[in-house]
Amino acid sequence: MSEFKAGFSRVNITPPMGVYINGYYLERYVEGVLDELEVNSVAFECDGKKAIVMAMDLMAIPQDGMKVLRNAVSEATGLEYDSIIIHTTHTHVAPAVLDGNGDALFDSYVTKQMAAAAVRAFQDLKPAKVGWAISSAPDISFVRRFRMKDGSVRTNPGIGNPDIVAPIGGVDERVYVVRMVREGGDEIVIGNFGTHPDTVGGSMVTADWPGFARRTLEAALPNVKCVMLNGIQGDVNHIKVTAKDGDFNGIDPNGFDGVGRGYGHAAHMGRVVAGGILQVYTKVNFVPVEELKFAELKIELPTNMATPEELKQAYKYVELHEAGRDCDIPFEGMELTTVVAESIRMKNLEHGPEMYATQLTGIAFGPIAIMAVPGEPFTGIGRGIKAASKFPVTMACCLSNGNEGYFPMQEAYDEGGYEARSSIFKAGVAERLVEHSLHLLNDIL
Amino acid sequence: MYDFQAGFSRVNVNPPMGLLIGGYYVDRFVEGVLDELEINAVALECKGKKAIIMTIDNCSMAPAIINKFRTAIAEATGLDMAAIFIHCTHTHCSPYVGREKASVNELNMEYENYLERQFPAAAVRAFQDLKPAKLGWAIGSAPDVAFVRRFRMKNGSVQTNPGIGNPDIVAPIGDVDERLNVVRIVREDAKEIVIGNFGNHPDTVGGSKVTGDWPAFTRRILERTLPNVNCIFFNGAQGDVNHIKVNAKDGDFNGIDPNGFDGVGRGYEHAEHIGRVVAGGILQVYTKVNFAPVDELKFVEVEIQIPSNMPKPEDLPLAYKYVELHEAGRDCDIPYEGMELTTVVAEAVRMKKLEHGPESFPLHLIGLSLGPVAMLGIPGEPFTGVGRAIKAGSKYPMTMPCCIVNGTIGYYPMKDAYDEGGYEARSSKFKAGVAEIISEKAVDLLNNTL
Repeated sequence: MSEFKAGFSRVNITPPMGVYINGYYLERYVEGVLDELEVNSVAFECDGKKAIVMAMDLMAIPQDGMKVLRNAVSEATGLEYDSIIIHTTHTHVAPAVLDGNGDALFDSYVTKQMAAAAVRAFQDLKPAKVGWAISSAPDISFVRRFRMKDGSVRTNPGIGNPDIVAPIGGVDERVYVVRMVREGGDEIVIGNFGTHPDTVGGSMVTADWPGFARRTLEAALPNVKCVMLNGIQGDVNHIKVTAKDGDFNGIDPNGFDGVGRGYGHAAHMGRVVAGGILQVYTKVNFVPVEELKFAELKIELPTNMATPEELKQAYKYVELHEAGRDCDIPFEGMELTTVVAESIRMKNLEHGPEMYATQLTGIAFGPIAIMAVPGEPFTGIGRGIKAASKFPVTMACCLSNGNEGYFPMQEAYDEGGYEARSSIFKAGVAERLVEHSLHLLNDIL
Repeated sequence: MYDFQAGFSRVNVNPPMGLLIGGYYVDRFVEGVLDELEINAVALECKGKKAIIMTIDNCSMAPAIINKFRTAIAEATGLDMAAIFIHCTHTHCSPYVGREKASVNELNMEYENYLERQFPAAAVRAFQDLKPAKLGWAIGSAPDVAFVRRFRMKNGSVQTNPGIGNPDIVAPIGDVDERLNVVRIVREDAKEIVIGNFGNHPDTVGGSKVTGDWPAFTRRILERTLPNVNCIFFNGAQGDVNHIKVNAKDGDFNGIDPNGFDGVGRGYEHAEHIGRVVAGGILQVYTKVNFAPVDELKFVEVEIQIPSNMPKPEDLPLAYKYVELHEAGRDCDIPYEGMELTTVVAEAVRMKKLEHGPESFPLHLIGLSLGPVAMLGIPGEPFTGVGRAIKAGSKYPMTMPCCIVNGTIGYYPMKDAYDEGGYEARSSKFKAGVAEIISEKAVDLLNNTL
C-alpha cells in the first residue's frame, strides 16, 4: 500500500525599497508594500519518490533564472531537477528577480529563500489523502483581444469602446481545486485558475488576486493553507469592456495605459476565486494516490525573426523608448505598448536563434497532473490540453520553469494584436505546445 | 450626506439543556450546543421613518407568539407594528416555542419569556447603532445545494424525500431557484452590514444539539472572510426544496451520514458545506454590488384570507386513528415508514385540527422597501414557485421573498402539488390555490402599496 505525503511551506519574499519592478515597459521601482509577497510550496512524496511545486508572487523569471532557482532547490533537497516546478503567479507589481533587471542582493536572497522554502516543505511532510473538484470563478476573466470595426485586432481596446465588434476567443472560468487532508497537519488546498494578475498597477508591491484568493480562502477555512497556481492566461485579463454599474466599484479607470485598475478589484477577483473554491471544498472526490510521477520534455520551437525592412523601424522605436521618448512614437496606450514590445522582440531576434529550446515539466499523482508551461499560453491551449489529457484534473500553469513570452494561437498571428506581435515564436507555436503537452501527459507521465 | 441610516445588533439566544426541540414529529430535547443561536437585527431609518428586520435561529413560531414579541419591540422602540419584520431561519435543531405540542415543558415557557425580553433588547441595541449608510445590491448564485424534494415515482405517486439513488424516481417536480440575493450596507465609521437571502430547508443536521444550520455557517464564514462585515441571513422560498441530492455520487456524500431516523441523510459538515457555498456566492458579488440611492423607507402589512383545507367526513376516522397511535408513541403501528410516515401523520393531524373549520384563515403579508430593494415576508413555507412569481412580478430590481416572517401558519404548495399529493400539500391546512393567491397578493403589495 503506497503512502502519499504532502508538506507545505510559506516564505516571505517581500522586497526592500528601490528594487526594479517588472510588468510594464515603464520603469518602476518598489516604493511600498500593499501586501506581502510569498513563495508557497507543496512538497510531495510517495514511496520514496519526491517532487515539489513552488508558487512565487512574481511576474516572471526567464529560463536562465529559473535554472538558478531549480538548481538551488535541487542542491538543498537532493531532488531531481525534473521534479521541480517553479511557478510565478504573474503579478504585475513585483520585483524583478534573476532576469538582469533587478538587484543582485535581492536575487541572492530569493535564491536562498527558495532553497529554504523547499527544505521546509519537505520537513512538513505528512500522510495525506487527496481530493479534487472543479468549480467556477464567474465574470472576472475576459478575453482581451477584440475585432474592431476597422478590421483590426486590438488588445484592451477600453471599456465601452464603440468600435468593438466582438471578442476573439473564449474564457475558461473553471477553477481546479485539489484538497490534501493531512494527518496531524493543516490541510493544503491548491487552486488553479487562469487570468492576468495585472489589476493593481503602481509601485507598491502586491500579490494581486492570487494573494487575495489565498488569504480569503484561509480566512474562511482556518485549518487550510492555500497555494494558487495561475493557469492559462495569455489572452485574458480583468477588463470587462461591457462594464456597467457596480462593475466599476474598486476600479480607477484612468490607468497610465488606458486600462482601469484597482486594489479593490484585485480583492474582488480573489474573493470570486476563493468563493468558487469554497463552493466545492467539502464535496471534493477523494481518490487513492498510488504513485507520484514527474517528467520534463525538452522541446524546440521556431522563433519569429523579423524581416530586414521591419528591423529598421524596430530599431528606431526601441531607441526612442529607451531614451524615454515614447511621446515621439506615433501610438498611444495599448497600441504604444504593442509596437514597443514588437520592436524589442524584433531587435532581440535579429541574429536568431531560429529555434528556441525550452521544456515542459509535469508532476502527476492519482488523477491530478500539474503541468508547467514556460510562458503565457492562450486559453485555446488550455482547453486543448484539458480536453485531451488522460488526467481528470490537469492544471496547466503559466510562467513555470521559464518565461519565453506569449504562445498565441495560429489565428492570432493573422489577426495581429499585442501578444502575437510581441511573441518570440512563429505562428503555430500554440498548436505545437498542445501536441507536446499531450505527449508529456498521456505518454510519458 | 446620507438620508439613510442602518444599525446592527446580535443577541445570543442559546437555550439551556432540556427544552423540547421543534422541527420533527419525533420529540427531542436539547442535549448540547453545536453552535450559538442568535437574533440578528438590522435597524433602518430614512428621513425619520423607522423599521427593523430581525432573524432568529429558530424553526418556526405561531403568529400569536411572534406578535407578542413584536408588541414588546414596539413598546421598547416606538416602532409601528407594521415596521417590525421577524424571520425564523427555519433551523430544525432549535427550541420549540409554542404551546401546541403535548411534550412542551416549563423550560420552553421560560425560553419564550426570555425571548420576549431579548427581542426588544436586540431592537433597542440595533437602533443605538444607527449610522449613515449607503446601500448596494447584487444577485449571486449558490449552486448545487438546494434540490427539489418532491418526485414523481414510477407507480404514479408523488413522494417527498424518496431517498438517494431510489430507483423508482421518475423525475423531480418543480425547479430550484439558485439565485442568491445580496444587499450590502456600507456605513460611516462602522462595520458594514450584509443581508443575504437564499431559499432552502435548514434541516441538514438533526439530533438533539442546537445549531443555526447553514444560515449560521453562512454568517460566520462571510464574517471571517470579510472582517469588516456583520451578516444577517434570511431564508427564502423553500417549502419544496432541501439539501438532498437524489443523484448524489462520489464527493457528494462527504459530510453526510446517510442513516437519518427518517431515511434522510444529514450531517453537520454538510450544513457547513451549504454555508460555504452560500458565503462563496456572496463573496463572488460583494465588491460589485450596484450602489443605489435610498430616498425613502416604506413598509406595509396587509391581511388576506386563505380558504382552509377541511377534511372530508369519510377521511376523519382514519385520521383520528393515526393521530392517536402517533401520540401514544405507536408510530410502528402506522403502516408507513420514513418520510411516508411523516406525511400521513402530518396529514392526519391537519385533518383532525380542521374537523370543525375554520373555513378560511387570515394571513398577514408584510413588505418593506429601501430604494431598489424590497423584502416580502410570508408567514409560512412557500414553494419556490411562489418566490419566482414574486420576483418576476415585482417592480423592484431586487425582491427578497422571506419564509416564516412574523410567524408561520404552514406550507403554501402550488396548485398542481395538490393534485400530485406529497407531504407539503397533504399536510397543508390551506386549499389548493393558496400559493397562487399569495403570489398575486404579494405582487400587488409590492407594486401598488409599497
